Amino acid sequence: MSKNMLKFYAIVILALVFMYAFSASYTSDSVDNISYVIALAVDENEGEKNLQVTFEFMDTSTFSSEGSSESKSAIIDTINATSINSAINLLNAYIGKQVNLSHCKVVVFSDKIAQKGIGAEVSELMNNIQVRPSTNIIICKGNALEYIQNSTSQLEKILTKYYDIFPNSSEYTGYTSNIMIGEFYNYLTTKECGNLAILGGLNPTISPSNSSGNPSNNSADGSSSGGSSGGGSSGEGSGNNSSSSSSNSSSSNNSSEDSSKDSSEKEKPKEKPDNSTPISKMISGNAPILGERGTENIGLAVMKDGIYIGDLTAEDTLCHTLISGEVNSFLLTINNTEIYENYLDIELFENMIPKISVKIENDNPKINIDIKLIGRISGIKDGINYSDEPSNLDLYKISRATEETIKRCITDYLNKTSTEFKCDIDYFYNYAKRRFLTVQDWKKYDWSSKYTNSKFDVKVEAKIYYSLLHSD
Amino acid sequence: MNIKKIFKYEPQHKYDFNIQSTENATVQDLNSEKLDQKVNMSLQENLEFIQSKFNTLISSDVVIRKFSLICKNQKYKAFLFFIDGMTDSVNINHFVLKPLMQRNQQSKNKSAPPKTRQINLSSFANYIYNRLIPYNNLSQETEFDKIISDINSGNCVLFVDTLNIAFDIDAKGFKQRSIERPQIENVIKGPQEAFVENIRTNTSLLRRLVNNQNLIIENIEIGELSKTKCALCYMQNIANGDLITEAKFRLNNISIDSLISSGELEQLIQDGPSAGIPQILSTERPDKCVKAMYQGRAVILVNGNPYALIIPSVMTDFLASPEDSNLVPLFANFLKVIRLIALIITLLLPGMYIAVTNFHQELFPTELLFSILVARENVPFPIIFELLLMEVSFELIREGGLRTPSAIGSTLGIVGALILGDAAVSANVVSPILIIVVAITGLSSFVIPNFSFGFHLRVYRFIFTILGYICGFLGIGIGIYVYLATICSIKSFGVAYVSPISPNISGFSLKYFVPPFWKQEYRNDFLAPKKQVSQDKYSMKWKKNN
Amino acid sequence: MEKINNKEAISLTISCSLGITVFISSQIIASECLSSSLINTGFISLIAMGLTAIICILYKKFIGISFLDITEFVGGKFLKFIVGTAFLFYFIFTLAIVLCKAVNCLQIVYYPMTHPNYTVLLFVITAAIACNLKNNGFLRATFILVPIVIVAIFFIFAGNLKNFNYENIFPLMGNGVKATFIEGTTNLFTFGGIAYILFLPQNLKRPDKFMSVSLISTAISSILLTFVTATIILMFNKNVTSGQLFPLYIAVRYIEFGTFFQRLDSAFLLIMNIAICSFLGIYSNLCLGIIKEITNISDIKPLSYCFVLLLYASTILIDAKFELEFMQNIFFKILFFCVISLGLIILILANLKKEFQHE
Repeated sequence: MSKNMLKFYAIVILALVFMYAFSASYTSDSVDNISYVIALAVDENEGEKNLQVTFEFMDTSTFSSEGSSESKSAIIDTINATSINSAINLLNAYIGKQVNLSHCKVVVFSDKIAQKGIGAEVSELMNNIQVRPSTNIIICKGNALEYIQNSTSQLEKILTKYYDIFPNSSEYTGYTSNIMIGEFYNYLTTKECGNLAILGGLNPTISPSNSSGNPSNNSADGSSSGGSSGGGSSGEGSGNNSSSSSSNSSSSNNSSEDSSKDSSEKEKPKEKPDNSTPISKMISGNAPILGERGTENIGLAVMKDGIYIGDLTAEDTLCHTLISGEVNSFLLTINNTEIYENYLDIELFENMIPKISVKIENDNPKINIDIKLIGRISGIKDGINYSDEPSNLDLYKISRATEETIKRCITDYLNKTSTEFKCDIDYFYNYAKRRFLTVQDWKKYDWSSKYTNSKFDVKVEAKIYYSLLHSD
Repeated sequence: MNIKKIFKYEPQHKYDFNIQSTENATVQDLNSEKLDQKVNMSLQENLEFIQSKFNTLISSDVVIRKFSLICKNQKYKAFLFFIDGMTDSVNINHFVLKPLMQRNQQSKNKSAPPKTRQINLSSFANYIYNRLIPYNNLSQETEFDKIISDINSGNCVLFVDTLNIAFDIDAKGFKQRSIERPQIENVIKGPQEAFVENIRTNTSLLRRLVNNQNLIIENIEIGELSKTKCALCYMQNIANGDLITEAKFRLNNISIDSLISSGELEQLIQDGPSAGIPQILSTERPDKCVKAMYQGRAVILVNGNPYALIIPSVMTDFLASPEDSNLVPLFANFLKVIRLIALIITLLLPGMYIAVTNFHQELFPTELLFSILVARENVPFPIIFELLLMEVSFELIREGGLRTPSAIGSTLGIVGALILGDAAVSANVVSPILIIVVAITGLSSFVIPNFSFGFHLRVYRFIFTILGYICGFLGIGIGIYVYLATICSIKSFGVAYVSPISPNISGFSLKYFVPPFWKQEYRNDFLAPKKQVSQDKYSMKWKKNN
Repeated sequence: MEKINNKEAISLTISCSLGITVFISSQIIASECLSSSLINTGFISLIAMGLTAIICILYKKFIGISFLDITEFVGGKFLKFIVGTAFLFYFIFTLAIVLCKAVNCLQIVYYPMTHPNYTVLLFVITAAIACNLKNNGFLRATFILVPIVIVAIFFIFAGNLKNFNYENIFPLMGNGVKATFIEGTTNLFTFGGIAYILFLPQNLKRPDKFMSVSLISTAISSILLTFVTATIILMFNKNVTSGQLFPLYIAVRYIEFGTFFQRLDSAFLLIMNIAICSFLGIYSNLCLGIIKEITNISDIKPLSYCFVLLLYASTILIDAKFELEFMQNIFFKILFFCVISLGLIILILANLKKEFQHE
């Protein structure tokens, strides 16, 4: 046997060895054997198991050429378990394909479970190698399962596109923020500051149980059905699973009940939205919007050490995004009767990134914020051309009124963070760190307790120019 | 099986040839080639001079026909100088040699007319000019510069003893335009001639294009029984001496019975086994060969085969098309970018596709991933089987297309496309996305200008497919490194295969992307030519003078 | 080994440092120095440049002579054997550590079902192939591939610009002056290229350019180290930097351009594999060169199979996580300082001996 033949046989044998060695990896990870979760919801379970985890899968008929007009549906499965990983483990056994979180777009926690703390769950998700750091994290007012059920894509054919796009509205409204789990986790592990998450909620004009476009919905409806079927299936479950991960996987199909509810609900006319909620008090769940989708994402949830402690309204969120520089443009409605009888809509743009500096005066922080904006009047009730006539309404007064309004909003918001929430959710600690030389000095200062005594000095400069396209 | 023999140490046979750079390589003035010599009255001196200029001892296609010319009962020695294959032999025989040799024989017996009784030199020349050479295009020349130039272009020149002029006879007879278009290396803007089987015709093509006396065409016979004529062609004043010596050494030391094609010769003279990667460029275009010779390379022609071998060759040569020199550099470089992309796609796309679908699905955008899932829902085969099935089918169609007569060639294409494309997808044998992958890979392989290089890419993509299937991007990454390292370890006649990218020499070398022609002042440093300058610094003198 | 040009020598040296930077040292620097990592990086870069300059000055009297020949000049064949073995041990250890770390990461992320020994075997076979190629194929491949790896590092930095929190560099002194400047000096082990520089002069085509080659390669290595450390520090806080995966890989997962280019960590895996293979090829050839000089074998290529087996054995021995952390945090640093000190002492003694001989 020549050396060349020996080399050839060696190569063939090695190839076979590697095929065998890596076969487990490529068999299990092949695209045919995996199902992709697009959204995850975690609720509190009042029963023995702590969590009710809901997984939303995409109905792939949307992508086929024979896709029907009712192609916005999703497949939702719910598992009761002690942790997210154990829920995934059970779901793997239930659905037959391996669950993969690498395309999970949103993770939703209900407010109840968030009030008890979600640090462990977020840490669990971040340590899951499949989860993308760009997954959005939402705290939902109410049931997270209902949020997922009602979160349908209204203008997009594909649900995942809606999940990709909806946080981008923060750039031009400022009423929400594009908060991702990676960033969330980063700040969660920092003791000096609080945390924010997107605040989600159900639209009050849509009935919570009107799961429009969800023909296939395997869910545990509260704990009642879980309890009734739990006795029968728990014996089977415990025999097969270890004690730590045994859970009651409910697979009862409530679609028939839902469909009958659907038909009766659809006959009822939709209620007119309540338009008395001002922006300063508006959050997800009380927005005056009437639409097809049953969910809203307005405002932010404030967390401290992973525990949900309060909400930021639409106005507060706008202030937050202004300070962080996330919002590029937003609309401000001024109601100042000294200048003008009716409302004035002003569209404002960020002129420069806000300048923030923190000084330590008498051992307490003094935070200076300098915001520069430019804006234009985008709407006036009557069609008078105010640039020609001398009138009470002139651009200087509008600018000053705008600046005062914004300054007042921001100051109120900052005071709220320091006195009510008592945590630094605008991450001013980053700027305060400059005043210290070493990490030990910084830790000695104890920023989180000193923040409650902070003083804020907000300067806003807003240059308004008149630019209506049409006027009388 | 002798186990001891397997583990026994055998010293590796090291054959390491490197081109040494010429220390005395001159940066010569382009005008130094001009000849000031004039025709001498002594025939022997003229003969010696022109023999030295054309290196007649080495060049095999130069013909010197010596004869005696009798005029007025006086015998004059003369010789005819021309290049075989460039001239029309029939015309020379009938209208030059016959009148000079036979007519004078007859005139010996007849009484000469009284006007020409006295012969002096000028009248002798006039007599030959007016009486003895009934040729339409005949001139008298005294400058060797012009004479040599005319010989190179296919003229035949007559030198006569005691005359200080030469008779320049336009007896061109080389083949023109009956030579066919290139079969494989087609260009849009460029010469449409290709080599033929006859070696002499091929050398005449080269001579005509080179148009310089420094072109050496050495005859070498290879094959004990077939005695196949091969020609080693190079520019004597440009090509590196070591390179030519090495080429001659290899060509003269081949012990085989017969040599039929240039492909066989390529395997016999290349540096070593290179895992299928071509080391010698073969071409059917004379203009490509001439360009290579002017760069300092050598060309080997084999009688009976229309493909010439260019040595040495580097990787960038295999990705260059003859079109590149005919286009504006912007377009030429754009095409080079396209070819580079095509190379990457041909080699890596199937492997990357299978690696991503098996191991790294997160790389896909969500919507694309779901489209793939839906497309694959009803397909019963695993992705690797689908991919190999389609790739092999594509190769079958490609090979079938080569063998079928042209009448049904197009039908085969339609049938193949129908079967592969439409029916396979409708029958859920393969997914549509895989068809796209295979089609793009196939298209990209056609973009590679050189047939051998494209072929090796087609073979290697199967290796990358297997690697991608086994261990994803890990396998692909390792495969890329091993492939690149193998390419980098190849040498072609002493020149590294990835020259001039690596080894990075400080001198000038044309890299993959070419500058404008007027900026290519120097020849490639890695070829170590004798003459490094190919253009003046300001080659466009008309611009400079203005 | 064939003589190499300046640019190739620079790319070789950079590749040596790159492997250690990406997989090991950036994480150690970020977790030890916290916010003062960049200052520490600058500080050790200056020290590395100084060390390189000293080595180059000491080499001036021995242009074109190999380091082991200088050792023989100082203390005879016995010292040559000892020093050669010490350096060999260091290089094999470096290879094993880097390979172990890389394979651990691959196993966690991509190949959880595959035993890491097979992945190591794959890399080791690549090293064997690289050793057996003729005409310095591995060297030219490195010259072509190193710019790609460098561009990838810059791309990771640039792609994460929007995720950076520039205030992470405060407080300036991090864990304190002692941790930054005194304990931080141990982070010099990042510059594994300095040990490679000792064996470079004999291979250079132009040995007179040795100083410029060494300084340029050290400078570029320090720039790359700065970029890698900056990426980690500006993106994460300390809890992330001390995890099991190397932080640069985690940083790649954050890069996104719209909704199309997301989760580019698989593409980074491709580049990382190429970088590991280059690293393996260079060090393996260097080790074989040392063995050749120590043992005076004429043809070293058949021994490459034995060498890669040795490499495979050392890598799979460093198995448990605890052992890996001890090895890279403590043992590796000590070994680096021993080896560099040994090199400097040999050069100084050689210079002194040559001075005395002249007198």
